[in-house]
Amino acid sequence: MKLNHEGHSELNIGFWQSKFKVGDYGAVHELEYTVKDNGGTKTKKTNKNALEMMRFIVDMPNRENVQWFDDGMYQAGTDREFEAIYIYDLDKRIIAVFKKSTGSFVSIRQLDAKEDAELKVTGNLGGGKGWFSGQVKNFSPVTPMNSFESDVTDITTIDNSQIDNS
Amino acid sequence: MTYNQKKHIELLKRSKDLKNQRKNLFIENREEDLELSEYNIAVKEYIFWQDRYQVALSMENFLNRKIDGKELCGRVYGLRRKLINTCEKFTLELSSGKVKDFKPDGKSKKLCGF
Repeated sequence: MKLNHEGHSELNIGFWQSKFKVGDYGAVHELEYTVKDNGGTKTKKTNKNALEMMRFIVDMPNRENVQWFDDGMYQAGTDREFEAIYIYDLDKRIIAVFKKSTGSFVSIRQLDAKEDAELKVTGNLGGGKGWFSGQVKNFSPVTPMNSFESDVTDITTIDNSQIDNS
Repeated sequence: MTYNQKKHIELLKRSKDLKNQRKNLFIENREEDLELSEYNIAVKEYIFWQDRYQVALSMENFLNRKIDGKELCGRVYGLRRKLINTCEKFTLELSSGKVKDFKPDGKSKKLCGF
């Protein structure tokens, strides 16, 4: 499906990418979903649901209070960064992500407060946080004095060499 | 940023008023929108901090190979969905005056990069 909107590059929403994404993000588009044991949602990856999601995205620019980011960055600061175009529904905080070089649809999701603010100020979405999903450039390594565990629990991790098992 | 509950409530009400007029604060006044975002982030971090043991447990189970990457992603999505919903409910309660003397826990900043 093509998305042509005056003043912006032509974008393309691929069927297979939509079908791949609809499982986790169908709920964002008010498609039928079930809640899994872990709290996430699941929408059936049917052709019908994929097409519904594609129509939803094509219609996004026609909504009220939609902001385009034609010179955005996706996951800036990581080894997966790319230049991106975003269509962002300011009211619902739903964003559609497109790769600028090809105009192809990548993903869609709902942003939390922090992502919303970062996008509005920097034009970037995701990345740069040093978490497990990607290798962040110029990110200092985690040390025993400042580990995820110590940050979360306030307990400093004990190095195994300090434990006497004899 | 110093959290200011009175200003946060004022901005939440202003944002809601604009929504009722089919407008958006970001388009109308970016400075105010940014200030509102900062307060909303303080709420988000406060709520996420309360879930920190669940986050740590999921990470621990993944690192100990009790759950695979797919299940970890599922749990992260689950926590994220819960976080967004809880934040929305909390800000609604805040703007309606049900929450008195809200003070974000300074420690909650520790998970701000997560």
